[in-house]
Amino acid sequence: MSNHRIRYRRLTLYCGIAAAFVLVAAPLYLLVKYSISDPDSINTGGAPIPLWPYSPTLRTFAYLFSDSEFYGVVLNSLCIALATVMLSLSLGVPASYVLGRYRLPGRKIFTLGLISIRLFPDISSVIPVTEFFIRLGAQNTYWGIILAHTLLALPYVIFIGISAFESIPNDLEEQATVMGASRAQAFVRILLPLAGPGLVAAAIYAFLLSWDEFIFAYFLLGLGRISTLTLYLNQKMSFAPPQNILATISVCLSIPVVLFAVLLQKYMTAGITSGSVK
Amino acid sequence: MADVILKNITKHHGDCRVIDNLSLDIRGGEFVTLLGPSGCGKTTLLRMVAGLTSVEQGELWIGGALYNDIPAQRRRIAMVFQSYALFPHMSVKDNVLFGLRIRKAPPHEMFDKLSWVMPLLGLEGLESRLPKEISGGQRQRAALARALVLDPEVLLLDEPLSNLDAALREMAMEELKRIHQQVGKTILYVTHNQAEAMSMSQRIAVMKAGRIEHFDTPRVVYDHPHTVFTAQFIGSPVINMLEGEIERGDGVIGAKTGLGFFVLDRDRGAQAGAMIGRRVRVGIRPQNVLFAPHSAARRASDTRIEVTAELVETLGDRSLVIARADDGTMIRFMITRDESIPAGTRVAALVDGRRIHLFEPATGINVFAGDKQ
Amino acid sequence: MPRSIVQGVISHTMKIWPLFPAAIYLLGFLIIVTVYLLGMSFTVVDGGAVSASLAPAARLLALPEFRQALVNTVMFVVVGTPLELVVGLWLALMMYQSFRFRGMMRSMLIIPLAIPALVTATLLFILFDYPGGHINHLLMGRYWFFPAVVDAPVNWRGSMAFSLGISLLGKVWRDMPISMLILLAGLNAIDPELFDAAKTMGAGLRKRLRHVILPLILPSVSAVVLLRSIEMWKEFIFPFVLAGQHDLLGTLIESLYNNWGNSHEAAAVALVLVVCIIVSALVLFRVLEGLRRLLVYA
Ligand SMILES: Nc1ncnc2c1ncn2[C@@H]1O[C@H](COP(=O)(O)OP(=O)(O)OP(=O)(O)O)[C@@H](O)[C@H]1O
Ligand SMILES: [Mg+2]
Repeated sequence: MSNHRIRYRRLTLYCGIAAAFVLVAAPLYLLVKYSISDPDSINTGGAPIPLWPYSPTLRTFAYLFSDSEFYGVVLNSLCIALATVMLSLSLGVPASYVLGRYRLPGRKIFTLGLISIRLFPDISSVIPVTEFFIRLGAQNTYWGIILAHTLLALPYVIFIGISAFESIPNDLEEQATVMGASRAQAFVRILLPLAGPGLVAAAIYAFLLSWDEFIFAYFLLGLGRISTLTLYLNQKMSFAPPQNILATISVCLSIPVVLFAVLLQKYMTAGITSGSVK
Repeated sequence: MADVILKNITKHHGDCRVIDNLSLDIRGGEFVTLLGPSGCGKTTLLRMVAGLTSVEQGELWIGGALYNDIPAQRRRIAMVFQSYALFPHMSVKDNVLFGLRIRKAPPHEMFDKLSWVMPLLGLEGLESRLPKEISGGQRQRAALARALVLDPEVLLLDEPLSNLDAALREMAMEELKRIHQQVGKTILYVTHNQAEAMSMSQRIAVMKAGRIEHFDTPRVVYDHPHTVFTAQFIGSPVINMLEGEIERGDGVIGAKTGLGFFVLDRDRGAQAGAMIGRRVRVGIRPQNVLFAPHSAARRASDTRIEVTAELVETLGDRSLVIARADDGTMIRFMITRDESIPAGTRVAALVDGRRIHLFEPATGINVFAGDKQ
Repeated sequence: MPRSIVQGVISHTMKIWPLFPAAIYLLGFLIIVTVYLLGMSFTVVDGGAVSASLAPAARLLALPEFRQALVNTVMFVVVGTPLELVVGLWLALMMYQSFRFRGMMRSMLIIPLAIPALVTATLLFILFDYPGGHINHLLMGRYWFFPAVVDAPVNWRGSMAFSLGISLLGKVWRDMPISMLILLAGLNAIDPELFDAAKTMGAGLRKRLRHVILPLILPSVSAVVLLRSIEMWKEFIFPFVLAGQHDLLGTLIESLYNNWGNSHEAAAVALVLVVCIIVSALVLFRVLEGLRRLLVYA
């Protein structure tokens, strides 16, 4: 009798899981499907759009990869993202070390002050930043967009970094000092490796943030000579090109990020939950 | 006051057989302790009685009814968990009343129960504190109170004292004994601390790897251990185990070991008459080896041994001597604080043959197991 | 005495200097953003001369698009936040149980978050196309596995309710993993023995949910509601791509700035958005605190 109930519960669980699977997988599948569709599978002339392309083809990918503009855009996105990671880590790691290791008075408030810039919606802060950068002459420059992306990523880096440093017992650092290491040595030899996973999470976060970023890129780079992948996609979309090209760009934009996320989900998860549990 | 009867119960966790064809018969109102090393299945057994883990094979009878398929919510069984499992968001009072609220007890009953249990366990004044705001010992008592107010048929306690310091533990033990006398519930108590088991329970079930090794009163378990495992697990310091052989000598029957010939008492000697020549493992508790520097008066059952002391460890008011006989056999025994033995000296001691235990070498079972239990 | 204070300050400064670059960077931008937002919202530029004025605010209040965008955004938040919570709870409660392939399922459920919002929006743009498009064909019963629901294709992006609805759908889909992970972390932090203890005290599934699970994951629920509601206010990309003619506050800022060239009014809307977020967060915080009291002490 109770066996019955248990089996019933199992069944609803599996149905729910199947539903969740479809909910996530179906859009992904459709995106990939569009990216390998031939033109006939898109402009069907009234017939229902096929769930699997009539004659799947990689021609759109070939077309995209033969476009030199596309290469330039990918390279731009990559460089901007990597520069953002480096800048935000080199600013954020020392700061989170201080905030995570020392019980300074008023450190909670100060931390809050540092990350409070994130309370502004991107779409709100982008207006002042753009105006400011215009005055500075930083619009349409690499360093302008890198500074802006760092502004977005840095609070996360500091936040994740603080909890990474906080979780390391004080004894370890003291032990290293007792054994004759200087503060810098203790930092490099003991703290950095132990805080590693957290810092990796922060780095991934910064990278993804910059790679996916659209609003600041749109306002600061606009239709200028520097373009990023998201801008490229948006620009293509406003010219209403065939859907398979949109889908192909989308796949290219997503693949590195999805790989990153799935391979390093442990760190990703840590980053997301550490921000909210407190 | 329900009896708890387990018949041939088996349970697996994955491929691992955690409970192995186990039977146990607990009388109503009895205080029984489950004693065993870590991982032997004590918690699992308790959880089965509580209904938190399903019974795979065998039968579980409580108060004369088959309980295998009754869910935990409908058993009148209370459990105090190893971690206490007090609800962190409820005050002590709300924790204690939780079960009664669930059962929709009338307010006057809740009031009565509360004013009975809080003084009984010394929890007055802590009613509105949260679990994190009271001490470890108080938490344990709160968990106990929470179990007692439900008026359970059986009370299950899973190592409730393991988190307490020694002094607090002793107090809590006395309190538990007193409560048992007052409320007279059937109590199944889990511990791996033998002192707790010896001092509190009416009967002890010694467990090993999902089986009951010996189930009897503390005295019997100590004096007539059923198996080598029980003998080694109960009693501190650990019992000496020597190799030996049953022999007849000088009109009496006894065990011959590297230390000498130990004369059995008459009852066991008569039984051993049929086992002459059998190899046995001889267990001698350190307490039953009497240091006798001046070769004091010998009873007929005493055997004098001569050994060389190798190491002396102080255990407070007594010391443990680790000594070696000429043929290399090691033996450990106790001396009082007034006696002293410098390491390396040759000493004499008396072993009382009536207190030695003989076990089958292969199975580890007491060769006289037939008469006891 | 003063000397030791000086020494204290010096030694403290020695300790905390690594903090300075980041602090200067972030606080500097914080000041720039605040000053510019306030400054632009309350000034007008007249032939190169800047003067304080309430004109941008006044013009904004008279603008029907602004009022419509405000209403739309409030609706977006009011509908979207509970939706994210419910979806997150549903996923978290499932992932809390053990079943085969749980690890794989978990990785799978994180993917929406990894995909750039712009990509998700693009995909929805394609799927909800008019008059063709997968969704229209599906609802018209053109596929064997789905019954016909509508007779004629729906112009999704043409209607305000539909276009904002699709944006909301995309937003919720993309953010599911965040809500799920927060709630799952909350669930995992509960000692399972608490459930067992409640069971031995006679609590059935519903009672355990109400008295044990719910009060204990309430902090996570609050976190989800608070964070998600803020995200809902901030939303830009989905409506930007999918609801071109029907503005939320976010997209209104963009069109005021880029299309109409009214940077001062854009800044005023941006300021309104910030104020909305702060007010809503404070109100929600109060409400959630009250709810916690209710659940724990009732
Ligand atoms: N949920 C489980 N899944 C798999 N194996 C389990 C599970 N619970 C217990 N076991 C295994 O069952 C055996 C008995 O566990 P149990 O918790 O009953 O031990 P115990 O006697 O209570 O130990 P301790 O004194 O350390 O509490 C152990 O070997 C343990 O590894
Ligand atoms: Mg246990």
